[in-house]
Amino acid sequence: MTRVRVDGVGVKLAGEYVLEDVTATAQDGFVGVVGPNGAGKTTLLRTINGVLDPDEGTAYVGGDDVTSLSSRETARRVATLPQETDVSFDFTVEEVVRMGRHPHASRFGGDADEKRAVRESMQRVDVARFADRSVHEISGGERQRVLLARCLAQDAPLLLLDEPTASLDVARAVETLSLVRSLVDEGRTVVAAIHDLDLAARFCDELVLLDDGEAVSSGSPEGVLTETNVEAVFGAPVRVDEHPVTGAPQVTVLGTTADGGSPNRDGD
Amino acid sequence: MAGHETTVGYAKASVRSRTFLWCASLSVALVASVVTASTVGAVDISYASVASIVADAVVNAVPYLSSDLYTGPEAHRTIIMNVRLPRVVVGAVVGFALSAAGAVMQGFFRNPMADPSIVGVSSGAAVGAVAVIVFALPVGVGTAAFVGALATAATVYSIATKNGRTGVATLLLAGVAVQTFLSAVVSYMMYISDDQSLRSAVYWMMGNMLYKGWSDVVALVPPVAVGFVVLVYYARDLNVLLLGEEEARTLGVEPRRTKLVLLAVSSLVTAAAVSVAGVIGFVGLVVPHAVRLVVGPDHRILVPTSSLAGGIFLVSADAIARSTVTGGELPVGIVTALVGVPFFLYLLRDRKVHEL
Repeated sequence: MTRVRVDGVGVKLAGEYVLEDVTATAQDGFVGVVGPNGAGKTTLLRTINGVLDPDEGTAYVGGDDVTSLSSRETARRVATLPQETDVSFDFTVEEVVRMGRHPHASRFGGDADEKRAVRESMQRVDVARFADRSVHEISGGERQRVLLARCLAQDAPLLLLDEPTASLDVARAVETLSLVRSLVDEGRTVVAAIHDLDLAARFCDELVLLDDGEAVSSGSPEGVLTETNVEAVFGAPVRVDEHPVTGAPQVTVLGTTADGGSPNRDGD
Repeated sequence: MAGHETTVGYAKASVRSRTFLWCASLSVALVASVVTASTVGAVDISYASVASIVADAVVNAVPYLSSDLYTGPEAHRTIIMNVRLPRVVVGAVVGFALSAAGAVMQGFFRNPMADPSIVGVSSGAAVGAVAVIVFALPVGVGTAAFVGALATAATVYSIATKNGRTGVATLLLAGVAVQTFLSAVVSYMMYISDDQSLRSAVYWMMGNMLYKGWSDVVALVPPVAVGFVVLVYYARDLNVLLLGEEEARTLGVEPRRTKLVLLAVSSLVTAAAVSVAGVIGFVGLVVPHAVRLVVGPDHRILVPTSSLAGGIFLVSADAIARSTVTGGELPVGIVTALVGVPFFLYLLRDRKVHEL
């Protein structure tokens, strides 16, 4: 089953295209969305989870136009890991994870699977041991894992991750992506915006390379992360080798172009 | 990841049983405070008498049942049933309403300084009430205050809404601006009024429960009860909304509809309270704060417990207002501020006030 398909999607913010005619699909597997800052990675995720209505084209989730679904129905199909969250008030870790059950719960009644789902998700990402701590008392990396636990508790077949490794050190980043990888191997579909090309190449099945709102290349990491593609998009001379340990493409930036044009646009 | 097997946190009582336990204890405390407050007054009436008079009244209100526990003077029964009890019950319901709305507004605005009148409800009510008092309009003060309150809330909401979107910060600023404008209107009306109506207007604005009767209870209870049920119904959505609108949407909340419902219902509940009792400050600000420190931020517990605690707080404050001055009484708004502000400052300094 095609879990997610974006078909000719265009999004304008403040009159400017931030995504233009993007077409991509993802079935079972781990799709990485890569590209420079401001290329539209986050915007693409926000179109898939229904937060943004695209100006052109359609995003389909589980076969339906996402804009036609209620937010409750969307939340049962797509779980989103935000880059950072601003949790007001002193909720405990467990309370935040339990919010992932919101789309499954009836108002006054309960949710038969809540306890199990919350417990399992917290154990899965190793946050159960600080279940009762306030989310303000833990580190940024730990908070990121708490949010990942919340996504798992949501029990959606499609997971969108917005820079899941941005606030993590290298070891934690690899650990988190290995965990994501195992979720994918169990049958979930993951679409993740990933900053780090080497990590994306190592863990993803497929990559979509965005540049200035357009999908310039997609396919296997080896096919997408060619020297030509990366140089064209990032505006810097690079060398791509096969990593001696992982075998994935490894990108080394050699310098910047003569015009100093390393694209670094805000508003990603 | 590393397998730290643990069961910490799972033994904790569920939200529902915690809510039930808290609400049961606070309800008992509320009834106790209502009875205690009814013993306060010029005529000395004992606890036991008040309790038996109230018990008789409750039982006799049920068809086919009758009760005659109370055997004291009938005059005391009249004082309790017609004078003291209705005003104490009005205090309980007003405190309940203001704290329910305050808890919801603090969550809605993710702001600890939010109070139930943040979108101008009290200022609107004051314009309505003062206009009736000063110009001797042929409308009830309560009705005018109620209409003024709701009209103001609706105006602020529509000012802050553009293309179907309502920004929380815009709403806050529009509320402050409209409140400032309306207080100028009130000041002007008071400036041109005569001494007698000036005194009544000031007294109304300080908030009081003087001369409240069962008709006020009857006017107050339906909107507050219905509003309260709706607010509790949306408590779970409000928790998720605290994460921000976008994140709430990805968790299955319809942010626009939820925000509109929460704002409209809180304003309705506040308007009902203010139109009966005038502007009573700090109840809706301080009580939810204090309760949050004890029960935590989950609105499924916070909204009902704050409401009950607010009832207890205002009933107690009103008892103090009636018993401090001999031969008269203080407006209860003075007491809530005099008691509420130091307590609030104590929380601010001494306790860990939750980061927002």
